[in-house]
Amino acid sequence: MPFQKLLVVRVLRPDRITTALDNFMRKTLPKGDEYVDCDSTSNFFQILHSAYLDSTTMTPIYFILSPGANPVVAVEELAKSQAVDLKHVHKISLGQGQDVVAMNKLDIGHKEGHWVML
Amino acid sequence: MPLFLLELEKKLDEFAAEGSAPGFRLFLSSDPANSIPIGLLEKSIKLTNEPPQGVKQNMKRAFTFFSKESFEDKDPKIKTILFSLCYFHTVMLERRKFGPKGWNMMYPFSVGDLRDSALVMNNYMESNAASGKIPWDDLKYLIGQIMYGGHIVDDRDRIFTIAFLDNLMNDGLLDESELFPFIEGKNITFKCPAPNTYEKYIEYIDQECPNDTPLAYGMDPNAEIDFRTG
Repeated sequence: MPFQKLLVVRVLRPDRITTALDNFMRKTLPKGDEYVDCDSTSNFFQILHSAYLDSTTMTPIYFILSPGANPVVAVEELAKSQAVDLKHVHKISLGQGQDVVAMNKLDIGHKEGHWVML
Repeated sequence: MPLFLLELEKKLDEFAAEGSAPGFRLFLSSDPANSIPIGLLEKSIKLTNEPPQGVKQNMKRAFTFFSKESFEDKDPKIKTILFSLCYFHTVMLERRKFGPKGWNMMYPFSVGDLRDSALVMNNYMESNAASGKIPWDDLKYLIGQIMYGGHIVDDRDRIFTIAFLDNLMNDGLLDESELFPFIEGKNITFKCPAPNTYEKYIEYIDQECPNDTPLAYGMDPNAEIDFRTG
């Protein structure tokens, strides 16, 4: 029945479909609440930290940014909490000619085990 | 940029083949773009920092931006104003999703505005603590004209911001006034809570903050049809 309800909502109130889907997932899926709420209560640093635990030398962490977001502060904080010297965290803003610099830093990071942020 | 990224991808493959020093980590950041190579994306752990949706999430995000320690030793009055500032911040941010119904232009309001407004408010309140009165006019000017207002370039948007602050920041705030503007008889409410502990504030947002509605931003309920169906 909940699914039929969704169909009706879809037809009559398309503007409400996201809310309806939310409720549908909460009610129908096992642990639906956890799925919908996900990490909405943890702050960005906690999320970053758990991502860091999942990362390896071969899996970069890719920030897809929305306007106004700046992950640099969070990364520096993470470095501190992981006892990584800030001198060993290289930050390069890409742009005119910086690609060469970035590649150099990558080589250094690769050899010395530093962090590189592009 | 795509060219560089392709090179980068190759480089990473080389690194992977050679094996890097164990501490090596790579952090990448970019705008969402279609030109990001798929291979690179598949390799990476993707993190987005999507702005939260709705009043409740935004209130929470804004409020938790302040740390518990710094919040707890504030004057009760400052706590209350800080809470209303979080609400104001939410409104400024969330009105953007209504397109031209919310603002006449897209403004880059961010958490930086909240941080600086809170800082300035705090300093100002502390240096004026002796007089016992809250300098509402000065606060409204600092927040509405300088901090958030600094982004605003449209006269009507400015009128809205000032009017909204006038309605929000006044002595009534300390008597747990209603935060949502013009909602008499609309069967919805979100009052400014009495000063409390950090956790209690979060609990309050969790429990009392209504589900998202344009009424929270001083708009007609129908205003959301557009972006919910778009």
